[in-house]
Amino acid sequence: MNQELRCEETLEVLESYLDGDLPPAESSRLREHLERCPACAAELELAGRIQRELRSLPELDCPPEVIERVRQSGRGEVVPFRPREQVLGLRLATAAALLAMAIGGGALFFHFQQQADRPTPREIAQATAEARYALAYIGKVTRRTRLDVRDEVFEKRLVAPAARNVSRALGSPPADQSKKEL
Amino acid sequence: MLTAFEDTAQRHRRRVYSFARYLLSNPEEAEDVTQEVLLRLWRHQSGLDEERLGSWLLRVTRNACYDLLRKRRSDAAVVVPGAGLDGEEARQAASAEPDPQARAEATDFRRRLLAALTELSEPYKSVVILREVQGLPHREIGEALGIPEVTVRVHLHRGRRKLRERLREVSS
Amino acid sequence: MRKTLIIGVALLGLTAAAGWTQNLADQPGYVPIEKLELFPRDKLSVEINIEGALLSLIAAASKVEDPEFASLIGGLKSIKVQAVPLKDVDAATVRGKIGQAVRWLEDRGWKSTLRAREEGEETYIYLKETDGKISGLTLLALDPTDEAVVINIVGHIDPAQIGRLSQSVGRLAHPDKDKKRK
Repeated sequence: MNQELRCEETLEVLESYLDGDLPPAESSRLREHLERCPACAAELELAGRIQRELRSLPELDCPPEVIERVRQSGRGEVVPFRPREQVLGLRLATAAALLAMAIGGGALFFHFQQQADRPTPREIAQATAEARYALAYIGKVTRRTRLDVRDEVFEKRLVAPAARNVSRALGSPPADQSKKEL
Repeated sequence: MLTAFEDTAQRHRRRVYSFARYLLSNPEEAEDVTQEVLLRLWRHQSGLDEERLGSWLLRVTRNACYDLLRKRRSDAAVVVPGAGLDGEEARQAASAEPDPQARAEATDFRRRLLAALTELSEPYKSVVILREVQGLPHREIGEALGIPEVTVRVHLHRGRRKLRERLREVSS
Repeated sequence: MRKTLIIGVALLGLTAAAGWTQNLADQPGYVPIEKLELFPRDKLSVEINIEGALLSLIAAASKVEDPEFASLIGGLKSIKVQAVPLKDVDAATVRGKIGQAVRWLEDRGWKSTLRAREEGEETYIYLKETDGKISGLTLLALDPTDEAVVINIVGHIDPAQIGRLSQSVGRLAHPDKDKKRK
């Protein structure tokens, strides 16, 4: 005997029905219940509409400049953030271009000890790009750990205690940490 | 090698960007994530199995989006539900309707749906996007997210149920 | 094709190099990451060494266009970065080496400001405090899906400044020394 579907069972099988996974016999029971139950029918109607809407959402494409930035990165340049961040612009691109040229030529970078040999402007530009690269690494790692090094880590953990130590040595009261400028 | 990488990047960038965009509801952050993911592809491409490349890209994208979403929460940033998603996509829904009132209602429904999708929590959101928006089969979603296929179905069902609950709340 | 991406800085002038190296090694914020052998040298994907006079030249060259970057660099004595893709090495070994490095730092009075472990990722940031000022920063990070990295910065360090600059300098790119242009 084919038992009638109850409302709470309907909600359970409704999802499988939407996925097309419900066996024919179960589908039939479901349809019979929906004919008698406006509430469940409305639930299926809403569920179906949501699914149709989601399935009609377009696949979005990224702006072409994203790919261009990836190409620049592949050529060995530190890629500035988009304009909403501080953009270092032309000077970074210049340093980066010099870096890219040096890399493309397979050159190693040289650094010079004290006054022994003075680096050329190209070498200084290359080293500048490397220094920025090192900073970018710190930024990447701290972003990945979802911490802003400036705000969370240093201010609360070490910079404040260091300041207190200095104040004690000088015999003056500790600075008001809440006013500490970052 | 640059050409081969570009070819791979072109083949996958829409899927990566789309996934990030629907997860984050923020076009700028989605661009950042896409750039990071494709850069990581650049670094690892020689070690990646071509068959698993699609799943790998989706997993890296999801993780990168997670990082941003966690940082967003810790920064207490204000996120407007559906922000960045409702303009173009909602208008597409409206344009298919025959009369103005139906068009307005369709636009409104899609906007509310996109807002509900923005508010949907993980892991349901990823699964709903990959299955219903991007049309991936359950097996591929499981590979991408590192979960069994049966768990994919469970998350999908719960995600869709939560969307309905949210839409009913908003309507009432 | 395996991509070897190296930015290297080679020493010129052995006599001068020996003198400078000894001086740098005496700095409290200095970490001998080469001697610690954290990562196999032949598997490094990134290696940066910028020391001494070159940092001053970078600062001078950047002063007008990026005074904050110049101010940071001008106070430094050394920047070292090493990174290794984990697909090329035994991740467990690298993880163990990072643990040894952490103990090395703690044995020498470095203060932990960040220790984060999540989903296999590990991140450590240590600061060296000398006379109330920060004289060294060391970052160790491991992402099992990507790479391990160590960064050591020596000199007068303003952590807030590093935090600001690391977040604004740009996205990390991966230079490719060996890429051949057609």
